[in-house]
Amino acid sequence: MKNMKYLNVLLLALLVGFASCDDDDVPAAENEEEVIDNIVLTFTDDDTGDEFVFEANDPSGSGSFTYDDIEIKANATYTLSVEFNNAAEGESITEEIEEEADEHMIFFEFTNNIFANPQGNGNIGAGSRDDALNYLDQDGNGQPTGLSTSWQTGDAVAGVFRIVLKHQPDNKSATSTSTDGETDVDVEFPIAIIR
Amino acid sequence: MKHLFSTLLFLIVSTLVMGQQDCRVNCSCSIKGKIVDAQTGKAIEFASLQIKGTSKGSTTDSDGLFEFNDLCETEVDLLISHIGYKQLTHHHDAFHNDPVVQLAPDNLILESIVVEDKAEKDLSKSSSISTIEGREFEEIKSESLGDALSSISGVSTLTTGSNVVKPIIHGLHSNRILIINNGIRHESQDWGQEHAPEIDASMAEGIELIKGAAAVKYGPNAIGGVILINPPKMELSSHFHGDINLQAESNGRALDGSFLFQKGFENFAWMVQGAGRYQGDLNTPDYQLTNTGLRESSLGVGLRFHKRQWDFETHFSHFEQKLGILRGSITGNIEDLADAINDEIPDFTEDFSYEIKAPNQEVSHDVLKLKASHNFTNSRLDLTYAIQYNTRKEFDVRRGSNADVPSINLELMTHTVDAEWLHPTVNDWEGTLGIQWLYQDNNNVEGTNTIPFIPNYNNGRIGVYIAETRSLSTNTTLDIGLRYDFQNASFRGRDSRNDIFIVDENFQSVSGIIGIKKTLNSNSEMRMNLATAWRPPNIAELFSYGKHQYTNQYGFYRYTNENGNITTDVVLDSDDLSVGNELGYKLIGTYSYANSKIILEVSPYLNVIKNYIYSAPSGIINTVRGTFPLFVFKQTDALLSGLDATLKIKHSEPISSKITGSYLYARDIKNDDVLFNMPANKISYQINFTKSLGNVEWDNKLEVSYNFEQYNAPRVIPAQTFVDDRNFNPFATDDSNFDFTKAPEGYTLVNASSTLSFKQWVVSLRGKNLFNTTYRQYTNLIRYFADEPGINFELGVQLKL
Repeated sequence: MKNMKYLNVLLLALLVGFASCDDDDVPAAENEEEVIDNIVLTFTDDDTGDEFVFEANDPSGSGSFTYDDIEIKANATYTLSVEFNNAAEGESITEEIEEEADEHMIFFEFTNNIFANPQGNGNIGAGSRDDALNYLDQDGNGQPTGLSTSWQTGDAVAGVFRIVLKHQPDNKSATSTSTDGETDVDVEFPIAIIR
Repeated sequence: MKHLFSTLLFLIVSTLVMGQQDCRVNCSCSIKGKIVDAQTGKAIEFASLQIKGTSKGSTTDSDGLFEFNDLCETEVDLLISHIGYKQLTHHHDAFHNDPVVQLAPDNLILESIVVEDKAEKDLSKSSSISTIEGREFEEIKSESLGDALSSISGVSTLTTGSNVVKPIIHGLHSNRILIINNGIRHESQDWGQEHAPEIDASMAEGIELIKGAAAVKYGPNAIGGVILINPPKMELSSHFHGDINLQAESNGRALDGSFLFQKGFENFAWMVQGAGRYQGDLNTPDYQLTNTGLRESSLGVGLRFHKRQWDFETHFSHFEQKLGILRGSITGNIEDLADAINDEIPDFTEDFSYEIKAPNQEVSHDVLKLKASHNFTNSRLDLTYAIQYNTRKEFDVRRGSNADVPSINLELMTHTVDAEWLHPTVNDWEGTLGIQWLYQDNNNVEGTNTIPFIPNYNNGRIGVYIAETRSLSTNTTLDIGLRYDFQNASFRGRDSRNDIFIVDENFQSVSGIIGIKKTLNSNSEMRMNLATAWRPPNIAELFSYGKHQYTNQYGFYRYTNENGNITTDVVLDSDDLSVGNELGYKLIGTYSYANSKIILEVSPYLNVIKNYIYSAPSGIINTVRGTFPLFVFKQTDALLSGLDATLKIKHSEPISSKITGSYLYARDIKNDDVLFNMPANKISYQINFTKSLGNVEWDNKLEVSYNFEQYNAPRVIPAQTFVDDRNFNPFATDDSNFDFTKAPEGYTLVNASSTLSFKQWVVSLRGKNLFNTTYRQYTNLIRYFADEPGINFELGVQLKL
């Protein structure tokens, strides 16, 4: 009966083991630190100092944004500052971009000739890096970042205004374009230039 | 179930009641065997044998056969000697019948060895088994496990660049094949296509591959086949021996080394082995593959104690690896993907470097195995306990303080207990009864600063099986087997609002096998078996959530799809959605023919898989980072059918050649559609030239292989289409699967090697992709972005101790 005894002991050991190994640990709540769920565009009129603020928001974190309609005045010159936030975490992503300015660049695209200056449709696309755009800031290597830009409006017109934030670690250069690196932000606002 | 247990009970009772005569009682034990020349394989006549500690001796006859009769012991030490050959002591026990002793001539580097009848492995005699061992294995063991296996027809590789290599057997990989490393089921995060098995092939002595659905003995997941990785055997009464290997490679400027030392005493044997690899960026014929470096190290220690009927074995191994993934293969949204596909040379390509930056993976795997065997008079009981600890960290390209924080950080602990009883022969039935228990605990390590891709989970599983074999006539053997498994799994994770969810699920299934082996005549035999296997849906298929490389991927329980509107803020369970087990039915036959000139082996197979699970693009999702392809898991029925063939021809000395080919046809038979990432067909021709120059053996090989284009690939919708039209619906008029690029064209590769062996030294020079061909492989996940590596020279030196 030796064999039988072995088997009994074994089965018992297995079942005891089976029952005792319950644990119910849950993964810790991780904060999605890299999510950008709030984008703020502040157009400041260079002459009057008037500020026009427009936002894009994703309160649910699902990725589907709601956009304010951009409305700025015709025949004026604006300084645009762009801010990126993780509102859910109360965190400013803009600061990180400033710290790593040599790895980031913002590119713009808009309805053709909607602005008096820059003319054209922006600098997004493989061969468009040197297309007209008025960057006001630069990184440690003398390359533009795009957190601050200048825009001059002409006649009243409506269209779209797209912002693309690229993460270009190791490959941001005088010739890098919006097709290099990874896209951190790609959003498109409706825009109206009004009298 | 009831039937299984009553069979089990019957077998136990019949053993005890009938209990065959113990030969030791009346001194009627016997040993038979054969002695051959290790170099030529020819029988040695007049070799002398003696049983250690006694005066009993014997010599071999003209066929090299010897026999001892009227022994009072089943276990003895045999001293074997012959003039001009190296002497050998062999420990014989009752469970390794008919030893074949290969005596090495004195002047050769070869050691004398004993090849024992495989007492337990070949239980399923009807299975199609391929083996790589000996010199053939030594030539490829510095490669990854997947690459080493791909020299077997019917095996291909699923890769992510050159560092992450997974074996594909007959079109199936990952959770659909089982890897048994040193007798233990290798348990890791194998749900990921870019998660390679954490095993160093250079620590093994040989690899066996079972191409059938061998689930009965090995358990769930063996739908495509089973890979057995066999470490060096710890032989008793063996002198100090082993080897030291060093290898340098031109592509990647890699250095690779391994060592093995072992020794056996009368009741005790030990082994120590280690291996390491240091590799920098690889290069294609035209450019550097930046960030494809690799570091790997492994260590193994084994001890064996033997005392009369008892045999104890313990084995510990540690493996760790850090591997870089091509920097240019990481893209953001679909526009970035389109840009990367269009780039001739991948983004971020730099000069050669050994440095590994993000993206990379750091993995480790530890195994402790304890095994006890007890030989009864005519049965044997094996008990094995193993603990495995697997860690995986994946680093992505991230911003700021998260750059050094892994995006995936997992710990997996697995305990297994296996009990197997080789029962005494009952009415001509030989076989085993077994019970296998497994407990797993998988946890996310805190601090990734991103929502976990898979939740925490625990698995408990118990399986019982019986596998029997019986001779029906002198030339026909029948195999049958049956298994039942029950698995309980509890999943604990966080939903999109960081709220806790807990889902508890049970899975169970029965698997079976029936097969025959028939010897047709003295030259040919036929094996055929029909086997079923199953697997429960894996963790990623049920619960994966979020961004993984350039896709957003959601498991069955993490999304709902209402008229094309995909919602991902839900957590379902089996009450909401029934996700069935994958059930595989595989029929495989093998016809083999051998005479003094040729060896032919042909294996056709047919595998039908119900509830086949795969991930496919099902649309696009708009996020703050732009448009992403949205991948969800789907379930269908698949058919995989094909043929493997190998023909070896011995031309006049010293030339021989080998032709291998594999063909696979795969289809989604429910939706009449093609399947993703099925390996393309392949043929290869190899010519060998071997010559002995005095004490030096010179062995040369030239191999030409052609890989066909995968003609059975999905339709193509270029990524650019999604960029040009942000609301493009790929399924508007056609609901079949699609891919972003066409399958790569067919290509020819030429490899060659030349090996010199003299005394204890083996020096080899190998060239791979000798014509520096530019090509891409369909089953490489980075084929969108970069070419495969170009020419590579490997110089290896081996010292045998």
